[in-house]
Amino acid sequence: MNRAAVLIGVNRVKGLPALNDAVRGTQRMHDWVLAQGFAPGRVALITDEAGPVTAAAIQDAVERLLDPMAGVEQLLIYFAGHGLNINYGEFWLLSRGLERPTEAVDVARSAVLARYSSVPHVVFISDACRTAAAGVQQQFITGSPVFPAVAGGGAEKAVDQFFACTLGNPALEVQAQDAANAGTFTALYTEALLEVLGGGEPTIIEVAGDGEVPDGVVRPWPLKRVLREKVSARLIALNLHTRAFQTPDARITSDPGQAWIARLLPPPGAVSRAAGLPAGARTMVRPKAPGGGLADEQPARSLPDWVDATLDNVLGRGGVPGDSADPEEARAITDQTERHGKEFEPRHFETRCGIKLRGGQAVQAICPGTRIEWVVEGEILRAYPRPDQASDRVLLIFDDGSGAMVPLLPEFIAELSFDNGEWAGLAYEASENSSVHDPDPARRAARRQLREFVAAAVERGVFQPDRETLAALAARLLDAPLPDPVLLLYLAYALDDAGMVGRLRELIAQARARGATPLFDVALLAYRPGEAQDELRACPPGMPLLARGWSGLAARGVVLAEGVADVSRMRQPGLWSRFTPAAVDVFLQQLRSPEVNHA
Amino acid sequence: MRDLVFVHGRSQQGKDSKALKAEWIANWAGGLKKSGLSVPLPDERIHFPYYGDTLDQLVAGKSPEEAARIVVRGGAPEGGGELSAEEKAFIEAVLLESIGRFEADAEGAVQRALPPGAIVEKGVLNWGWVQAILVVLDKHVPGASSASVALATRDVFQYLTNDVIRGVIDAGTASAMLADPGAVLVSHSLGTVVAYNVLRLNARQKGWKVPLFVTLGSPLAVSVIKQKLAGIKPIGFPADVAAWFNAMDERDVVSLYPLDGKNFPLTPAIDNKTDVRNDTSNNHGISGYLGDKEVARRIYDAVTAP
Repeated sequence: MNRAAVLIGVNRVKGLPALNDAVRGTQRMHDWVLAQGFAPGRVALITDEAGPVTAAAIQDAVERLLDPMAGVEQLLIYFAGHGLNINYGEFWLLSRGLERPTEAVDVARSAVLARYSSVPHVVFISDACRTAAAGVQQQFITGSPVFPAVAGGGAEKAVDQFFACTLGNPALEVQAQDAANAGTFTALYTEALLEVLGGGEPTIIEVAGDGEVPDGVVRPWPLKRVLREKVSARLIALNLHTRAFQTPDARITSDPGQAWIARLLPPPGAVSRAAGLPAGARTMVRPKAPGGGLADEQPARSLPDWVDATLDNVLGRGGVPGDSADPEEARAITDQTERHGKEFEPRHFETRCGIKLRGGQAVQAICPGTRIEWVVEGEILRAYPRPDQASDRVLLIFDDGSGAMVPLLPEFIAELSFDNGEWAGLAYEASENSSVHDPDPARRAARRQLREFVAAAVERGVFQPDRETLAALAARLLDAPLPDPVLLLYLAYALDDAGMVGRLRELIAQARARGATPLFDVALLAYRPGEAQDELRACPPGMPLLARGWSGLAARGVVLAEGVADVSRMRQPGLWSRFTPAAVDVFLQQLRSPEVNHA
Repeated sequence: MRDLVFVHGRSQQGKDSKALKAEWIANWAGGLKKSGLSVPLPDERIHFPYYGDTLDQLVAGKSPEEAARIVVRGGAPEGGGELSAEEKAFIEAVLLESIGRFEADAEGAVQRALPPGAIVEKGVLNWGWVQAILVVLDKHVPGASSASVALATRDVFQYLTNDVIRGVIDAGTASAMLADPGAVLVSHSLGTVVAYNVLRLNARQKGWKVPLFVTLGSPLAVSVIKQKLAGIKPIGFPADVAAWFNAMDERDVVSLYPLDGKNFPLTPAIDNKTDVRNDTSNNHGISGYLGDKEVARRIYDAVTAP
C-alpha cells in the first residue's frame, strides 16, 4: 500500500505554556512511519523546532500528497501540541494560533473534506487537549481546514480520528519521577500509541491475509480499545499524587475488516478476523496495577465504555456491567437523564403543535409563516400550522437578547429544557390528541429515557455506538408511530461519525415515507456535495441545530439562505445553536413582516 | 494467439455495435496492410463490449450532433436536464487546458475572442467564457468541431461522476476481459478512461492477464480527469498488465498530452508514441489511430506472441 504522512509537532504557542514532548513525540512518530516503510518523499515532518508552524505549510504538504498522480492510498495526519474544543469541534493550535484566528487546524472541517479527497483511508491522530475554549480570544479562533475544497470526488472515503482524550478533557505530558530523568516529560498518549503500533500489544495483531508483507496488521477498532487500557494502565503505573485521568477516544468510519494502521509480523497463533473477535468487540481488561498509592484502587471503567454498556442494557443487547466501578461522570448522566426524562405539561394543544419551555423563559417569539400565540407568556406557545404545512421555525428570543431558532413540527410539541439558565435540551413529543401519539405510557417513558440518556452522552462527547448498537437504535427509532425527530438527530451524527451515511439516507427515506420531515442537521449529514440544496434548506430550522453542525456545513459547501450565512460565527458556546444578540438582529431583519409575539 | 478486446469511445456516426466492430477491424486491417500483414484472428476472438446505448441515454435520445449543441450552449434542453454546475466547471477546465496547447496565453486568447460588449461575470460559472474558449479552439483546429470535444468531455464527466452509468459501462467492459492466457486490450478516447478504470479496479481480484494495454487518443493525463479518476481509486499502474503502449497525434484535441513521466508518471513507465498522423477531421478519430502502421503492428505482435 502506498502510504503517506504529515506529522506536526508544536511545543510553543505564543501565549500558552510551552510543552516538552510535542516535537519529540512527533519525531518518534516520524521514526515509526519510516520503519513502517513509508517512502521518505511521502512523509512531511513539520515542527516548530526550526521556526513557526503555519497552516499554509500544512496545507501545502497535504496538497502535495493529494496530487492525483501521487497515488496515495492511506494518509496519516498526526498532531502533538495544544488543542481546544470550540462548540464541539476540535482545533489544533499552531505557533500563532491565539493571535491569528485562522492559524489553527479545524479538525472537523478537515475530516469532512478528507472524505471527498482522493485518498481511500485518512487517519487523524491528535495528541492534544480537547478542553473548552476559554476567554474571548480563544472563542474567536476560526481555524483552517488542511484539506482542499472537494476535489477528488467519487464515493466517500474512510476517515478515522484518534484523540488522546475524551471531549472536554486534557491530554497529559508526565514528568519522569526518577532523579536520573527529572525534567523529562513524556506525552502519555503518543507513548502508548507507539507502543501498540510497534507491536507491544500482540493480542490485537491480526493476520490480514491480503498478500502484503508482513502479514500482521493492527486495525483501528482494536487500537481504539487497547489505547484506553494502555493509557489508563500507564497512569496507574506512574503512581501520581493527583487524580489525573486521561481516556483516549476515537471516531472510526473505516471498514473494520479491511482498514489497518500498522503492519507487523504476526505473533505465533495470531488469527485472521474471520476467526477473531467481531468488529468493535468490547472487552474490559483491568490493567495490572503495581502496588502503592492510587494504583491500589479499583480502576473505574471509562465513561465511553460505561455509556456503551448502559446502552447495550437499555437495548436488550446484554451489556455487561463488569466488575469495574462506574466513572464519576456517570452520575451526572443518569441525573440529567432522569431530570429531562420527566414529562411536563401541557401534553397537548388543540392545534396539535406548539413549544413549551422548562426552567427558562423567552421574551419574544417570531414566526413569519405560521400563526402563533402565547398560552402562558414566555413558556407555552401554541402554533396553528396549516393542514398542508410540513414544518416551520420559530425564533425565540431570551431575556439577555440571545435567541434560538426552533423547528415547529405539526403533531409535535417542542420541549426546551434549561439548566441554570442555559439551554440544555430540545425534545419533541407527539401531542396527546395526535394520531401519532403512542397511548402506552410505559413505551413512551422508555423512549424518553433512551433519548435523554443519548442526549446526555452526546453533550459529553461520549455517544459513539458501534455499528451493531447503531442498528439496534435505528430499529428502536422506527418502533414508534413517527420517528422521534431528536433521537434521529443524535443518531444521524453517530451514523455520520461511523461512516454509515448510506444507512442514514435509508432512515430518512423511511421517516419521510411516514410523513416526517427530517431536521436540518439530519438532512445535512445525508447531503452529498453537488446535490441540489433547496430540499436541504427547506428542512427546519434551515440551519444546524447542534453547534457541531456548522463546521460540516462549511466543509460540504452548503450555502444557507441569504442573510443566515452571516450568523455562523455569532453563536454562544454550547451543544445547541444559541445565537448572540447580534445574530438575533440579523434574523429580525431577515424575517420581514413577521408575526411578533411579545411575552 | 491471444484474444483481442476493443473498448470504444463515442461514435459520432450513430452506428450500432456490429457496424462499429467491423469498422474497427477494417481500420486495423488497413494499418496491418502497411506492413504486409493481415488480421490474425477470427472475428469471434475479437471482443467489442458496446456501451453506445448508455452514452445515448446521456443525451436523452437526441442525436450526437444535437446533443453537442446542447452541451455547447449549456442550456436546459427539453428532457435532457440542465448541465450541473460541476459539469460546466469540468467542461470549462478541459477546454481551457486544450487551447493551452495552441495559445501561450490561453486566458488572454479567450478574452480576445469575446464579442464586443460582452459581459464577463465575476462568477465561477460563466458560460459566455466557455463559448469564447470554443471559438479559440475552432480557430486553431478548423473542422475540429469544438462541439464534439465538448460532448466527449461530457461523456467522460458522466462516466467519472455518475455511479449508475459507470456501473453499466464497467460491467459490460469487464465481461469481455479474460484470465489466463488473457487478452490484448485496445482502447480509444473515453474508452481509455473506461479500460484503465476497469483494469485498476478489477484486474488483480479477477486474475485478468493483459499482455498489452493500448490507449489511443487518450485524455487520461488531463488534470481534472486525473483528479476525478483518483477519487475513484488512487492512480497506479494496473495490476497484471504486462505493458502499456500509448499513441497519439500531437494535434489531437482530446488527448492533449502523452502519458509520459511528466504528465502521467507511473512505474513502470508507459511506452509513448506521439508521432501518429491522424488525418481524421479532429485528429482524434479511431481510424487514424488503428490505421497507423506501428500502432497496428504493436497490437498484432502482442496478439500473436507465443
